[in-house]
Amino acid sequence: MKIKLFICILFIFSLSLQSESAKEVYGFASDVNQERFYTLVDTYRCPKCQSSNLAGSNAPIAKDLKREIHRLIEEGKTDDQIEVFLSSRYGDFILYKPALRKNTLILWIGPFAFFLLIIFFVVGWNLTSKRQPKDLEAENIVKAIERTRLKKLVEEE
Amino acid sequence: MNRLTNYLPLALFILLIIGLFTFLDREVSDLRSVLLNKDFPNFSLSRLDNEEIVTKNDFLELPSLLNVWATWCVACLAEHPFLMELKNESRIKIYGLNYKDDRNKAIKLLDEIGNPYEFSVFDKEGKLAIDLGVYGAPETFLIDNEGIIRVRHVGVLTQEVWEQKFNTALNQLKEDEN
Amino acid sequence: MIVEIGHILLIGALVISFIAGFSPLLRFLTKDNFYYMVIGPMNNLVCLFIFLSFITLIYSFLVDDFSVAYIANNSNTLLPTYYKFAATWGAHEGSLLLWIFCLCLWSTTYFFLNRQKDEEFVALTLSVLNQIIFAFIAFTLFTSNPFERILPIVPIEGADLNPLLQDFAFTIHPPLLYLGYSGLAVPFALSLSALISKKIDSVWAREARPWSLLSSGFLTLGIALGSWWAYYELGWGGWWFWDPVENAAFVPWLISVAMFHSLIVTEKRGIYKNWSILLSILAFAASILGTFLVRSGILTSVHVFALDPERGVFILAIFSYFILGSLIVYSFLNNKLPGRSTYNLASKEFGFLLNNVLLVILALSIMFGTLFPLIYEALNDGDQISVGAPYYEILILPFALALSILQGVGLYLSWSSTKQFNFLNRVAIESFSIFVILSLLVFFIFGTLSWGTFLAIAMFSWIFSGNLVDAAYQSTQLQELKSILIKRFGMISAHLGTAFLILGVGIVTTFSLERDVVLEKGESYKLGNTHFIFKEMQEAKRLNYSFQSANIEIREEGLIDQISPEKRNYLSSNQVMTEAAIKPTLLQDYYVTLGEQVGDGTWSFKLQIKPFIRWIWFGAILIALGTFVSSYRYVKRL
Repeated sequence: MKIKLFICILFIFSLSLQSESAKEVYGFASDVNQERFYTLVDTYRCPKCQSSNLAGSNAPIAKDLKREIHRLIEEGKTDDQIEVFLSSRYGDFILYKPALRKNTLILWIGPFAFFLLIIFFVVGWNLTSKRQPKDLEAENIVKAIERTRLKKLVEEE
Repeated sequence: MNRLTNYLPLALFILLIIGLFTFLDREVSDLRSVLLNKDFPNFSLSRLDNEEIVTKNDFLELPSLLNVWATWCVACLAEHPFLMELKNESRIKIYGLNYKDDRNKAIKLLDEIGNPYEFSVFDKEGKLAIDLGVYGAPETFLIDNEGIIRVRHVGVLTQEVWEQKFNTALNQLKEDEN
Repeated sequence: MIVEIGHILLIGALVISFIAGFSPLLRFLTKDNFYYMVIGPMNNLVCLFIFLSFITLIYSFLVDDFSVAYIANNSNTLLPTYYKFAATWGAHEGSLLLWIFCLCLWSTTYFFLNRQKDEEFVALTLSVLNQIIFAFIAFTLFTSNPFERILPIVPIEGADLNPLLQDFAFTIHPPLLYLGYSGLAVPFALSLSALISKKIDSVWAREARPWSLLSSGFLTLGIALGSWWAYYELGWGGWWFWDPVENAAFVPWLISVAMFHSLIVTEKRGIYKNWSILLSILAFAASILGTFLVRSGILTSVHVFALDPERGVFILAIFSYFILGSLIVYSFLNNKLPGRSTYNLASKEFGFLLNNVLLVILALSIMFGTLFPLIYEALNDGDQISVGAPYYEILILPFALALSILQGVGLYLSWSSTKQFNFLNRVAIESFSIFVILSLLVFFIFGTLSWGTFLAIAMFSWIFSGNLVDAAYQSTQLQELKSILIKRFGMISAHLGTAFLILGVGIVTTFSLERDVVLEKGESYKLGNTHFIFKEMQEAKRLNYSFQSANIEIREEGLIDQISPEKRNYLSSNQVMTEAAIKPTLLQDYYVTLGEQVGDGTWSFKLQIKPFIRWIWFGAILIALGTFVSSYRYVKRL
């Protein structure tokens, strides 16, 4: 008798646990998968929309692709495999993160290379240039003039 | 050094301007298919008019035209007359991909306005469409007789598009054969 | 009739601004100062005409004059009055008139604040501004005339304002943004004026600074508003999308920040003159380039106005004229004086230099990323590629990190050479303490931490310490602290604003929760610690739309609130829009979007919890506040 009661309670309990996931449009076996899904749908572009990711689009193709991503995650595919699935059908256009290739190298390396270049150039120029006494004098004169002008202006106010 | 930094911004800017002026001529084109010159994807779906299952082997008789259409697609109605004309084109067979549609409505529509297709594949879920990189209707593909996708057109199929894209490709295929 | 008056006024403004713009040429030829003196009054006349012209357009909207094509395309008799007013800038043509109007506000303000000053300098500045005004009026009149009539058949009803724009934020977002964009013309004009009259010096820098601060402040507000608006309007909970048009506003903002920082050094030390001039040109260039990108059709975006290559050519021509022109003036008239003082790597000067470099490279990289798909397509035989959020997020991180570090120590670096370094110890200890406390708090609230959050908290703590905590710690009396706060209010507010913004971004990116669910009437779903209960559906009508709304109760320990996401059907255009429902609280936003009817009484919903998201816009407001306060101090002294 007690065992039957126990089993009943267990059953009802498990039902209530399941019921949350029963309401989910995209049900997942694990929380990790669920998080992966919501991250991934942000990073792929809706092929039909002017400029939107899959998450932000109600277009039929966006819904279908979300369904596919859901299926692929549940089938155990990795993020990379899902990316290959999508880009082999829709091309690089669908990837909001440009693939790292020879011809996208400038996009990925460019900014940092450029930064290093400029800093190198600027620091080098500052450290290596020698100051001539003549330059210094001219500079001090200019500065004196500017200071007087500034002073006059402040006094006027 | 001073010279360089003085004129460098100007020089760079001139380059930028030239670049931007060239981009103005750019036509915002449709998404190009990544499947060009690749094999037509495998599939196993029911026909529209009956429950018979078809696969890609079922349209390899001649070069074929695969037209993605649906009853909810207004532009598809616009290209329909031209498709009916194309039925007379001896070099190809036309097949339909009924995309995310209601089976009965689709059959009824073809009865009403005419059926240009040898048969249509009933792709209710749009899975084959996804495998083809389709993102809307109408779209049309040209597949050669070895099952390789040669041409993909997004939008209404007109005489002009037929001449420029499909006819040219067919002639090319003929030449390659010889 | 009114419309024709507006049209004529615009043509009048075109002519007068042309004369005002090129009057200095006459002065150059005749040496008669009259040609300088007359620019001010002409400028005011232009602004009066533009103002009146703008009024006629607004008036015509308010009276539903559908004989005007622009009004017929963007309004409707059922549209609420305040939207009819705002519809004036609802599309390309009218928004240009708004832009010109904003620029006129700047030029008149400049005139009235500088009437007693150096005649040549003011005249040259005004003439440059009027050339810009002229160019934009020409663009409006010849390619995008809002006053064009549809004759002889006048529509009885208009097409309606895009439902996405029928929102409060729309009434203030464009004006603020355009004040920012057009405001960048003022430092630009000041630079050119100084180059031509050979007055590149601390006085010029002091003049330019408040104008660059002001326009930067308006840009900050405009961008923040845009982000907030996108968040609650678009329905999927995103607040920044790295869309080309968003980038088109962010890039000039970054450069404007570099600009007013650089001007500090030019004013106080007489160096970085080249930097300051080039930055003012670059800022204005970025502003115009942004206009070009949005209106020429070369980029697709949710925001794109007018897909018209002809307009694109015109704007590009304007762009070329002003930037090429200014760079030529710069190259040839640049002061050859060696304006350099000695400083080493551990100095304020170098810190500001680093700041300049970081901001400019970040700005250029974002611009490059935005244009990259075009470049790639051109060089790769038509292959298409996308550059989006994942790329920019990776890009901005190291720059944000470096800039945060600078923000924390900037105050303590000395000019020329820093001798005392014990501030480093203090700031490090202070920020470490804050870091630990915050991390524990976050862990306590959310139950987990990540590298992203650690980074965000670290940056926050560092900036917070270096700008406020240490000053508080160092001051021995309350009076001392108060005077520091007042003296440095602008800087402290703006830097703290960035700190809060970074913290908000870090937290919301890591801890957002999201679910798509299907609920029957009465059912609830538990997301995180929150219960969302679908109570019932309702239907009703408003002035120009009918809607269905779902009552959703939000409960944690007891009722938090009841909100109602809607699906609206706009009667005139038959467009369906979803209106998300948001419950903001101090620590997080509860966000619900209505999906579709799945069955009888069963609907799909998107439920989200966004922690700390409001802190992002709070941070932005602090930044804008700081910028405005700093500029006010200067304007007061002008």
